[in-house]
Amino acid sequence: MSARLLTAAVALALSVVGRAVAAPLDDRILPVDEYTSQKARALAQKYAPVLRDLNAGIYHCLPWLDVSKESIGFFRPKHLVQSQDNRYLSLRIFIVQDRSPQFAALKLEERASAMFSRYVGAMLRRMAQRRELVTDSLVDGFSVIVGWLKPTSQPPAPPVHETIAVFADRPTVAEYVAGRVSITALAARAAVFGYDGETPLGRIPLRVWEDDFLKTFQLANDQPASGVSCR
Amino acid sequence: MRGTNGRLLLAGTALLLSAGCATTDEWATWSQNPAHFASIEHYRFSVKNRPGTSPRVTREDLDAARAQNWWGRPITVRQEQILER
Repeated sequence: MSARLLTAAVALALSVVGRAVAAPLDDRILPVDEYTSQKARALAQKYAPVLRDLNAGIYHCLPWLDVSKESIGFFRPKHLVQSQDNRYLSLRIFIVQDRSPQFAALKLEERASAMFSRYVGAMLRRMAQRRELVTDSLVDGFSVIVGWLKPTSQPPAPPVHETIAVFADRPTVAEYVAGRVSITALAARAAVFGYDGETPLGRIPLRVWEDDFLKTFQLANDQPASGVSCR
Repeated sequence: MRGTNGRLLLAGTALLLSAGCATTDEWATWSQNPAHFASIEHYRFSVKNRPGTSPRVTREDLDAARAQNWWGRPITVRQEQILER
């Protein structure tokens, strides 16, 4: 009897540990008390479940996207007028992908265009799943920051990331997720800044297209955790 | 004949020794990374996934790799350069 109890206890403990390890980390979301304005704190509290769902959805369904600590929240874009407390729902992701000679052969603007085409629209749709977000006047816009390994980055030197930071105002995103604006128009209306490692490159001109990669790609041998459905 | 054998032995030994030795650069790289595996998780992942087989990657593998910086700390734009809290 005690042996069976012990076995059951060990099995329970292992399953709890397994689930704990495979759960998304809450520290990906900026804590409410870290914001510098009341408006941001109010947004973070109001939409806390949305931020958690966004974090969990990426964690379980897009495991090759890395979300760093405190990368999800209602941040103030630095390039906008600082006298106004513009709050954008922001998400920063890093794309973990195999090295590709084709990708490496592209110019930085072309790599940025490819990454925008593949990820920015899809992330905006995830971020705006709660339609309230695109009608809430307190939400000024949305930003998606996408990073990837610079193709010329080779060991033993530290890896260098290329990054684009995309900012779109709320009406533009509302029209995009409603299907009234194309990805090309979204890119034209958005502010897109590039970075080579830590070096800012200024605004990056993009030529984008609709890329349905995320709708069709399935990571080989990857099984979402039980109870998680990925669309 | 004896001299030829001796020379051959010497040359063979020298060849074997030089083939088994790392260059200065290789030693420098090794001294910076003295362990082949960054951690026990890295070792388990590598043993589980042999070349030529379909890799089995779990969320735990990815989390462990990211937490341990298997591939080094990246040079990237800081969040404070783009966004304010």
